[in-house]
Amino acid sequence: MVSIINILRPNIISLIYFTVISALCCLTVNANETELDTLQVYDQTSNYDSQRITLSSQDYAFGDLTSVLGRTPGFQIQTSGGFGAYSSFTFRGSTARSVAVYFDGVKVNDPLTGDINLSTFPLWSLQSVDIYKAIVPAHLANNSGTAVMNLNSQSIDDKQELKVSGGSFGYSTVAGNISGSNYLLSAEWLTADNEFEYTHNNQTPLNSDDDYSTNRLNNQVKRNFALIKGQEKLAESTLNLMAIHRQYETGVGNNLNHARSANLQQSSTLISTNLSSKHWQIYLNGDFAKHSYDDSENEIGLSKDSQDIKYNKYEAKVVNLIEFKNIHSTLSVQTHQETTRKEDLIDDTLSSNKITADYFSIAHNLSLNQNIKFNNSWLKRIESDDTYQTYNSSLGYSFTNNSWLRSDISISKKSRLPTISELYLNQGNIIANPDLEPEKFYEVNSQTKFNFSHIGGAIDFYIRDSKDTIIYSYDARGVGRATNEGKSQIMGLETMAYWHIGKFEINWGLELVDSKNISGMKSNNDKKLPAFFHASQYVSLSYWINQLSLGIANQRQSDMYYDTANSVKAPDQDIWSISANFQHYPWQLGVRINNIFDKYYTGFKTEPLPGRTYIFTFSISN
Amino acid sequence: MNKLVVTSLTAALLGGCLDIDSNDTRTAPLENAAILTVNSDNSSSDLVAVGNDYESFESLNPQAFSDVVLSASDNSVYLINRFGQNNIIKYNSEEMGYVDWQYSTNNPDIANQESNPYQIIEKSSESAYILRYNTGEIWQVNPSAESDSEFKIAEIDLSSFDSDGIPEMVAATLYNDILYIALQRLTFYKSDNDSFLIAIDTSNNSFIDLSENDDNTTAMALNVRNPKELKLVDNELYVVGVGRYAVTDWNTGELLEATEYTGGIEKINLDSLTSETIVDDGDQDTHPYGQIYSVSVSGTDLVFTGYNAWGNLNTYIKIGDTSPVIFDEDINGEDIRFAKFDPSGQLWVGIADAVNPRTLVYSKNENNEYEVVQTVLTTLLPSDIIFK
Repeated sequence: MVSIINILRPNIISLIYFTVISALCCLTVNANETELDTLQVYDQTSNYDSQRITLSSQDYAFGDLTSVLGRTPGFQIQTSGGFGAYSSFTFRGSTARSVAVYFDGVKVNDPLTGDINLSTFPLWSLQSVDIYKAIVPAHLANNSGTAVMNLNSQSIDDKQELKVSGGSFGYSTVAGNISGSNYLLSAEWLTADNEFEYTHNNQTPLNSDDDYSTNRLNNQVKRNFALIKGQEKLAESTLNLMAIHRQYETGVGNNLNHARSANLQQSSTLISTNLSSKHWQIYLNGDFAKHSYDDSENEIGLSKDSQDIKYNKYEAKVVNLIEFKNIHSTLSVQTHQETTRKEDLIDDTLSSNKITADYFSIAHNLSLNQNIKFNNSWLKRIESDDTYQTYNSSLGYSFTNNSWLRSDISISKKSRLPTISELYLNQGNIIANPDLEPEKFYEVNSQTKFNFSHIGGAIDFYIRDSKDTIIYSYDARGVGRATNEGKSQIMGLETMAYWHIGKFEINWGLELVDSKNISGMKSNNDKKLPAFFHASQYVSLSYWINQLSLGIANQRQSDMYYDTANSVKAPDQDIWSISANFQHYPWQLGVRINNIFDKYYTGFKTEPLPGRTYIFTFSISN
Repeated sequence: MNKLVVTSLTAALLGGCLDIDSNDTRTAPLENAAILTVNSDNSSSDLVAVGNDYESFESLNPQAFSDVVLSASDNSVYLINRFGQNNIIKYNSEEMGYVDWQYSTNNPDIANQESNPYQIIEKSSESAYILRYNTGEIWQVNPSAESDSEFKIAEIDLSSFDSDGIPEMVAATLYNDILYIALQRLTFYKSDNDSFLIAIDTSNNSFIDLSENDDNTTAMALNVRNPKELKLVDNELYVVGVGRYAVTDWNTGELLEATEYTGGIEKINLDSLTSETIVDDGDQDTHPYGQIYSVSVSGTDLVFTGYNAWGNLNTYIKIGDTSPVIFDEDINGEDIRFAKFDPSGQLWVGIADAVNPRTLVYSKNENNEYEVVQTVLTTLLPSDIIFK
């Protein structure tokens, strides 16, 4: 009961929740087309039960991709701490490698590990984020795992924008967009030393007498990002060209026992060509990336001096769209080749491994009367000695009674291929297992979206059974090995809502999860899945005084265990932030203070997170 | 009415998904044994007390890491948090779970140190020695210290015993107030050098010469390489050597250098300093026990474990001068974490079976054969054990 009270505090949150639910049940309201400057906008037109997060002026002023996803129910951020810090995420309890992430339709997950560093994508160059939690569009269906996220870049619409920001811990950024009628140039430069103060427990958490205050070291971040897009009409078709260059560099800390010089550099050049017509889309993509770890001082405990990972990806995709009466068909045929070369310099000895994988996939979506939807996809991956293939299948139904309410329900069988890393690459005391099978997920998803004139939102409910989940086990010698012995059930409720009352705007998100490990392992059986919060809530309140908006936001997260046996519970988190933003066309000036009560938390395990931080931002646009 | 129903349902749903915190500290006395348990994915560990009726009391010290071992003295139980944690927790053996103290074993003057404590050997209530595996210095500490500033008494430099300055002090024992320490002397994690036994006079922390015929060192070269643990019985010291692990390519797992069977069990008479290898682990062609991992002795019975492959160990028994034989066919090939005799001669075998983690207690029957007389069930995998 105490926890219930905690999660519902402050009381206004529960009031809003009941009001939203009541509105759904009791009200009959005629929607109008009033356009509101909401932080979240829900896409009512998609054929899929997707969520589109359209980025707001507040997001551009103060946010990044981690802050946007961090307030989106279902997603939780795992960060090493600080501005632009290396950050990944969990989605409904699964790691990022279970979520395919695309940038304008080009998959950008790390081909080796399946993970992704969200901080390599500046928000400034994005327009919106589409999240497909249930049925996956055919043109994005490629070993999707549990969900798909597509980052939509800024559109080409004749604009010029410039943003300059500064803040705590040496944070500064300069970003700009220049767009004409058929081109866009978007670029961003960011740097932060992230040397924030925190309390070091001297690695004796049960003895507070030896704690001391120190600064986080070797936590600096530098990021350069450039995006060029062009568009040309060719008779009935449109030719789209895109090139992205990402460069990211960060110090790699050793949790509380910080390293001084170990660092990670990531760079990627992605080139995409797309020819689109009414019935056809043809993609030719290439991605050339490199990740380099430097640990010449042997600070991060992996006994290696340096590690270079280079990968090249060549991709071809053809999408056919057919509309016949009330039947919509999307067929996607895709092939791509990934070549990964990993080199480690260990104690003056060079070790390398080159793996080439060829992928073939066919995916098909069929929609009848915009109500009944089928999705089927097949994926085959061929390496030198092994072949893997998976089939994914979904069946969905949409209830669209009127323009303001839409419900979708679907059942799905999804799967995730083991990553190259899990199959073939030994890492320290972890040995690879080439016999791994694909993970399997069986899901029921339902989503209801509503959109009145001043209130809107979405409610998701899902049940998922996961089988053959890849987990690691260690033996007497301390050697780890991946196996398919994981098995779990998870059920969750996710709600997002916005509400305008006069000059007030309220945004609210809630995520409640009940998970159960059902593997045969005694220590974990019947326990909750670790490493994500089972209760999470975000609420923000904005008040407009002419051109000035004042905002306050709170994020509470609770009920997370660090370990699979649920022996050790993570501390609950409660973070407040405030902001003020003054808009006077063509310029905008804002300030935001995060974590105003200067609370200190740790990241996934022991990485110290910053206390109070501030950001000043100035932007100008035509 | 609708609102009421929805409100009730919502409250029920919220209630069903949230747990109520409990911060109660559990304690239990050391009656029979204490077992350190770890999770199969190494995400956590726990301290478990085993009562006189072999019932287990769990959750005495749950932690979110697993590189942990136990040490014991007359009245204290020490929980040693090794790599990545670098600290020791002391409990009174009458009240395990209630923390007497927790102190770091890192030198505060050295940034970024990973001292990696391996064992604490208590000489008295005011003096103990800590093996700091990743450093060149052993610490003398005060187990009764009331603050971290009083904890460290002295340090003894062992760096001269290895050319890289870190001799990998792995295990130690006290005999006649002399601290005997086994040094692995690894190079880049490989056991290519002779391992040493050294001795320190604890009255003045000076080295005792165990190698009187060699003026270059005070250390005694061991017959076995890569020692893992020591067992003292009367004046005889049993040393278990693992030998050299195979070397594989960091990335591909390709075998670069095969396992070297240079280990075994060596028995050293600490009075005469005579030594003999009582179990040889074989050679590249014949190695019947795999790599030898642990030893325990009770009377004329010697039990040891051998590592065959990932998660696969066998337990052997050697009675007197006979050749070793399989101890119990029923537990062959299990992930055996320990096989230790208690003071009464019962053998406790920890089996890290994730489905059914258990510690089997063997006792001799009327035919003088060992049979399982008790099974101690734990939630996590049994990993280390100490006895009252």
